[in-house]
Amino acid sequence: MPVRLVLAGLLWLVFAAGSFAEICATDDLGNRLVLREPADRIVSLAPNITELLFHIGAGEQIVGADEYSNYPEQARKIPRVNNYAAANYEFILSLEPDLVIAWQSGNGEQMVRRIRQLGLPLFVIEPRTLTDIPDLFERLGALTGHDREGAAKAATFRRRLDRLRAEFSGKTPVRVFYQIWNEPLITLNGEHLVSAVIELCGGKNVFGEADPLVPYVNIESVLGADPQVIIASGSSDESPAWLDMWRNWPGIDAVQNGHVYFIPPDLMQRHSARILDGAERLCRYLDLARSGRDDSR
Amino acid sequence: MRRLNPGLLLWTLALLLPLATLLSLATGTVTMTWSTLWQALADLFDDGDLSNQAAMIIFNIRLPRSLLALCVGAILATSGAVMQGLFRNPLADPSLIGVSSGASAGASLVIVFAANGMAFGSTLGLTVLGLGAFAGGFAATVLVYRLATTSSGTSVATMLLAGIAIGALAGALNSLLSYFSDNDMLRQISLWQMGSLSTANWPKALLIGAVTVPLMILFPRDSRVLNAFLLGESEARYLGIDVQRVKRRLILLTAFGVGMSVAIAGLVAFVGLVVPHLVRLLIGPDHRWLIPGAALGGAILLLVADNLARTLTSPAELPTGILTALLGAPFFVALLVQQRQRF
Repeated sequence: MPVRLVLAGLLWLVFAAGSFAEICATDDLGNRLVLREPADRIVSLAPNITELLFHIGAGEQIVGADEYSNYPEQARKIPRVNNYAAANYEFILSLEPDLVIAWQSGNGEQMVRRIRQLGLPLFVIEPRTLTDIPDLFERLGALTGHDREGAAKAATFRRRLDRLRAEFSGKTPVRVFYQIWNEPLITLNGEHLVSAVIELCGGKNVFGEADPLVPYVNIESVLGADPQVIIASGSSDESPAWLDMWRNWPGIDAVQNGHVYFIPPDLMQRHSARILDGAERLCRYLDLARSGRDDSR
Repeated sequence: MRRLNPGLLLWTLALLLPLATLLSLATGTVTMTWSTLWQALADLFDDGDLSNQAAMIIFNIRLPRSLLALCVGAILATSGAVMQGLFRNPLADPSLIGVSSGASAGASLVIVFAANGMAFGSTLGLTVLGLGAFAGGFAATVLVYRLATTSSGTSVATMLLAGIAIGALAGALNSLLSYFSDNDMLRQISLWQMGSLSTANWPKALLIGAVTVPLMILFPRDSRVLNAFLLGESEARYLGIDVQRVKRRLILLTAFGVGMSVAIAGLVAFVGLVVPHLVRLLIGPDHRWLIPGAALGGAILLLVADNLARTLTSPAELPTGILTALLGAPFFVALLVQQRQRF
């Protein structure tokens, strides 16, 4: 009897839904992920993901992470599964993760595809804006059984963000050059998260209009743009030695008025909670430039 | 294909070179009218006045960069011409004797082991890095040369094969070093390997200039000898040429020139291989014309390519190597097609 079959099927569905409190989520690639229970053995393929997980209290559940996961301190002890170029898929499988979290543009299409082929539960993130970050607290909180903490952290983050925006984004615009590297000169264009932070503080990225996401520029372009503030990031927690190079170019507004600063790249370039720490520093520096005070280094 | 009169080509190129230089001084992110340019140049020659921004940009940014482009282009193209003549092999270019890959492996070694936390933008850093690159390129060349040389002379075939082997070895060493280097070193290695003229400054320009001048004097002195080599090595020997000595001299000079230019400007592909062919297709294989022609052609090509690299996506920059290939390759293909129709 078809009617009976349908009824039986419906009953089974109701029963199934009741017995397992399933967690459903859609990742940033639009793929649906269903977990029977909150993930307890997580592999994080990028440092920002590791930071996000620790921030919402899911750090202890990470069983494998990438080589650059350096924050918080405990993250350094997690077994390493991948770097920028490759992942140890065999090792990842042996960790028997119930959730692998990847960052699409950081890990690359190939690594993400391979993880998917291996049949591991995969959640791919691709945050683009500042407001994507608190959303991630909530979404990852749901997947890892930290709903409440995720929601609380998201609310705190949003409050802090709103406060910064209200205080700074409407102030007099300041021309900012964000310097990643010295030889060659590398910066970031307007589509990068860093520009969102600059705008949050009421600044304007002087190379916001450049075509590539990570444009190579030259000294002449910087002279032409005449930034009021130069922010160097470099590649570590220490101010790069090459920051001194600007002394040779006293014609630049920022150099003349002493507004050449360093902000550790992990505070500006990672989609994690700490980006607001970087933002607060940047906003302060831009304010110094507005008031014309010299407080550099 | 009808060949051009070599003298005509040389004069044309010699006329184009200052024009190209002037053009590259006049163009950049900061727009300058010709009158500002003249005024700035006049001020410079008058009293070295750098107070106005235009004069400073021209003197401290555009002029050293143009000189660097000129010199690197000339060195790579003449070295290519000499290598192709010496090995009588159309595919020979400076990278074939292992000098480029050796130089980049040498630089990587310096970045990873020798210079902990050294700022490679500084003069000292540049010097150490440059020395590393030069030593690497030189060592690779000597190794290749030794491998190919027996008591009966140097075998061209063995030398080319040894060059490929040493090149692969240096490449592997390079990849290995970048794989095990930390975040900071990795950046330095990969950025350095990309090669760029954007870091040009006066110390770099003067250094490469000091290398270019003797090479441009020494290479043409062997034009006739290279012409004899075109007949074959034994024939050259019967003509009374000390084949072994000539080879050693030219290989060392090439290693020196290319090693230095790789050390200063990174790897700029294509110029060394194709410019000599272009000139040869236009005026024939006589090295008395070919070598100066290649020098001028290489200088102009790199200058124009770098000029475009600076201005096309301004204020951002394109890698110069892309432009040299984009400019040179279609021209080269057109010449090949034209030559084919002769048969």
